[in-house]
Amino acid sequence: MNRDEYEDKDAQAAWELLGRQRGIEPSFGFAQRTIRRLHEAPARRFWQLPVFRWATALSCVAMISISGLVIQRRAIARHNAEVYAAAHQDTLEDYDVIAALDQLEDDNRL
Amino acid sequence: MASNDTDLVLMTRVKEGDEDAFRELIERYQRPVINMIYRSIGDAWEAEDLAQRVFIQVFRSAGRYQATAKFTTWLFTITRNTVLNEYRRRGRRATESLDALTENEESARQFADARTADPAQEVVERELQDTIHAAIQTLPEAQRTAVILCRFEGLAYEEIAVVLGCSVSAVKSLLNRAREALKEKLRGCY
Repeated sequence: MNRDEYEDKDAQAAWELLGRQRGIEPSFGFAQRTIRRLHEAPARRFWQLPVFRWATALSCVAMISISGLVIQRRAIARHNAEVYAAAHQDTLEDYDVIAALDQLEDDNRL
Repeated sequence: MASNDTDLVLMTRVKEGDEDAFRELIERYQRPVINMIYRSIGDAWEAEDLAQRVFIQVFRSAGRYQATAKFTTWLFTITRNTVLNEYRRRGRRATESLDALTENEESARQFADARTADPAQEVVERELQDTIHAAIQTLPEAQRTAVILCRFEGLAYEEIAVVLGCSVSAVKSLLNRAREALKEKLRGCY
């Protein structure tokens, strides 16, 4: 007997052994219970459809992404404004603020 | 009348909402569906629960059933999808359902019919059943489904290919690999 033949016989024996596995019997009244369950189970609403679930999930992801982008842009703009203000702080301090034009005297004409 | 012709007649009636036809369909296929699920997940109680879901799905999808496809192929495709959903729900791989096998060992035994009267022989038989069950459970999902459909349900390669959504040669390859794996796992039992 060569090795291949031996291997095939082993595989065949294992295959035949599988057939000895016992199955299970359906419990009494399985069909009736299934039909009862069919009546009890509510039909799928449109929002329970997989397509709708995917659409909802994708919408959430898109919303989070857009919100993140907006927040990031605002943060960058605020940061830029702060940098600009800091850079021009000295020159801004040199100017006096005049609340009313009536205060302008001869020496301070525009 | 051939089995598939009867199925087609029953499905036509089920499409029209005929519950008697649906009941007849369940009674014809409850055993193969329950056993396919049981051999896939290793839990007898859950197998019945999932089998009910399969038949409810059959009823609700009856309108989409095309008579060009063999009914059993369509039924086993729904069954396989239900099992795959169950794997996803559990959030673990099929091979890990060995734990479930151990946990539900008692319930499985309750279902199995006792053919042997001798207690010692019964113990040996139980061990053999557990070994076979464990060997099947350790196969990857596609191999396991191919083995169940081929060995236990007697489906042709072409039908298995439809259920698994692959080619006939891929089915043959799956079965060859499964045979090799089972040979190793069951060594010493035959």
